[in-house]
Amino acid sequence: MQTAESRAGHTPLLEARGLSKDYGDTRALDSLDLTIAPGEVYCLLGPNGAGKTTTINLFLGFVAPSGGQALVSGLDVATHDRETKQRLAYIPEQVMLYRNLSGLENLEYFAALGGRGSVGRERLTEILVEAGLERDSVDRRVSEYSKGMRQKVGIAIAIAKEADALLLDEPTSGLDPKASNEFSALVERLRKRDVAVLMATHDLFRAKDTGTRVGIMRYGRLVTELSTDEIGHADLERIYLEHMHD
Amino acid sequence: MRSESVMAWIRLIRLEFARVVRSGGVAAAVLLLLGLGVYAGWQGNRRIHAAQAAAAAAETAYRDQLAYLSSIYPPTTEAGELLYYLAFPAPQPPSRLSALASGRTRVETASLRIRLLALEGQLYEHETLNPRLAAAGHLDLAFILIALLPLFVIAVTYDIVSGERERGTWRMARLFARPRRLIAAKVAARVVLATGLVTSMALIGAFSTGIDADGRAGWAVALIALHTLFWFALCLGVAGGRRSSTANAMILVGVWVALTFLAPAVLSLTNSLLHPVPEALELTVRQRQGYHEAWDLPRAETMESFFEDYPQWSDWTVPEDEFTWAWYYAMNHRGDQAARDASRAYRDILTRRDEWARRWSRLVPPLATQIALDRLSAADLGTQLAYQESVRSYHERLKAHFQPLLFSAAPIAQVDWERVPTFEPAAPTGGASQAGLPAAATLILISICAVLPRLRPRPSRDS
Repeated sequence: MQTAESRAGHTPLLEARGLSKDYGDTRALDSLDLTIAPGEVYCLLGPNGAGKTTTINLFLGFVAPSGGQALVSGLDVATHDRETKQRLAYIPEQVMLYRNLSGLENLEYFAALGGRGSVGRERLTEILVEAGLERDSVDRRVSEYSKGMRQKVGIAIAIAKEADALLLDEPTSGLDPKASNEFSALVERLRKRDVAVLMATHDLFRAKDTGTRVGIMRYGRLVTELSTDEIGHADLERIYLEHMHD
Repeated sequence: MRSESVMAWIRLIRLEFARVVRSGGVAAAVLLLLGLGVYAGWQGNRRIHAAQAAAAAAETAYRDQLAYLSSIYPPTTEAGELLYYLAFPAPQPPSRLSALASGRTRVETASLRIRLLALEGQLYEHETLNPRLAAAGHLDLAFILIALLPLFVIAVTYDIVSGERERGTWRMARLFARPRRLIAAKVAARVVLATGLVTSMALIGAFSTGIDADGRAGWAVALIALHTLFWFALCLGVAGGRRSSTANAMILVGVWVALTFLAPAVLSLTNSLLHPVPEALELTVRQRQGYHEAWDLPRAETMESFFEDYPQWSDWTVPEDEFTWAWYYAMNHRGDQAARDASRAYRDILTRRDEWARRWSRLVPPLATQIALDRLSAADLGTQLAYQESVRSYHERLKAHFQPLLFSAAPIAQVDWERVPTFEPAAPTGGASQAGLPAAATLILISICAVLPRLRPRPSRDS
């Protein structure tokens, strides 16, 4: 199988080496090996409990691995917590923001939290607009935002952070088709900026449409990897179902 | 780079501040506290004015009474007869800081009017407050800042970490900064809010009552600031952990009830049991008995007792079959002599109570702060005892002044009223530092202990 490294000609930005996670007696992730290069969108597919979210949490350092390593730009997440987090952005299924701040203020907040205090409000507004938010919405409180709008603020936060890698956990779940398409377009723009994207999703169509590679997980294991250039939508669905019925 | 970091901090604190104040509950609490602060400031101002008016009224009453007595008694009347009725003013000017912490000023008088008769009973002869009302305490600025402000601090801090976790913003925030930076920004914003609130209330109090910007006021402000920071430290110590918001709220409110109400009540009860104080009424009764017994004693015997304290008059002989004012006032002095030991014991035990309360209050920061504020405001027990000592001293000076006239049976016409001694108010007990330092040290020490567990680096855990 062709590796991401050889395809993109870059050092992997995200890499899992024999990565495992146990919750008590349950093995949530079993010896995962994975590499994602800059400019790649890697979609993790699989049923609930397959280990997709656990993989993302391990890269984010939100949970400690039971075995193996999660590496970001070659740095072990377990031993370089701060350095690896600085390189990552994360958009969960529900982007949780401060409801009594506006979209712009949320962006300001996270930028300031990251130590960036001199980025002007005009620039931050531009980032929000670039992320797809209407200009007249940026000053409205987030409590008035739809889920799609909150996802766009999440993307804007990732853009403002200038993260090397973006981790997405079911980001289009619950979005209407138009919002999902807009979201995919945003991810594509980030990919073109050489951002490495790891997206956990149930949406086969979105995975094929947005991803450059797809990995199918089951029972904590990566059972197959596919390049989206080499398969069609129907192929992906067939292969996925085959693995689910094994 | 440095300015980027500073600007980031300023922006972060500003936005966190906006988050907090945009909450409807917080805005309502701020308005409520400010409203209570204005009310307490107004009440404090009224109390100061009332005390000043009482002092002025005592002076006026003295002059009016003297004018009236002089008008109804012929100048040839013995001075002793007029002095029997005349009450001399002994007003202690109120400390302006007592508008902030009223302490014992509501249950004790500081404007006695003293007659030349036996003193002990007069010290406790004033209008008393219904003890049931006194037990409820009163709404002064110190109560708001010591008892109510901590509730506000708890309300804005209890979910400082758990709220982030429960809202789901904690993970996002952790990708941008260490938890310590986020928590520091959150605490800083809330400290700014509380500081604004405390400053507003302090300014309300200062402007409405004209508190002087002296060392005592400085210590009072420092103690209030440290007490508020103590609650922030305590909240951070509890809420900086991994408990839920509900658990944090319950723990903090429990601690607030324990420190603000239960512990002071337990200490007060223990103090009462360890240092039982006889009723002041007992002193009055003893003094009255000492005085009344003398009616049936040979006058020479009464005078012998008197000469023990005033040997300069021992050559003077009182006739047994004739009323003399010198004997009458000596008889009153016998009343004070009868109550003297009990009075001294009473004061000693009160002093021990005061010292015990101050010492043990160091375990209970709100109580230590309250006691220190009362002391700075000259509204504490020590000041009350010092005032009584000043009154005793004044009574002695009056006696020393009038005894030559009494023993010579001088007429009113011989009294030079302009040279009658005037009351010298008691000086505040102890310096400002002496009053403020122990409480300040307590607050700093316990604050450090409360927040220390959160400052230690902790091993990474699943979150």
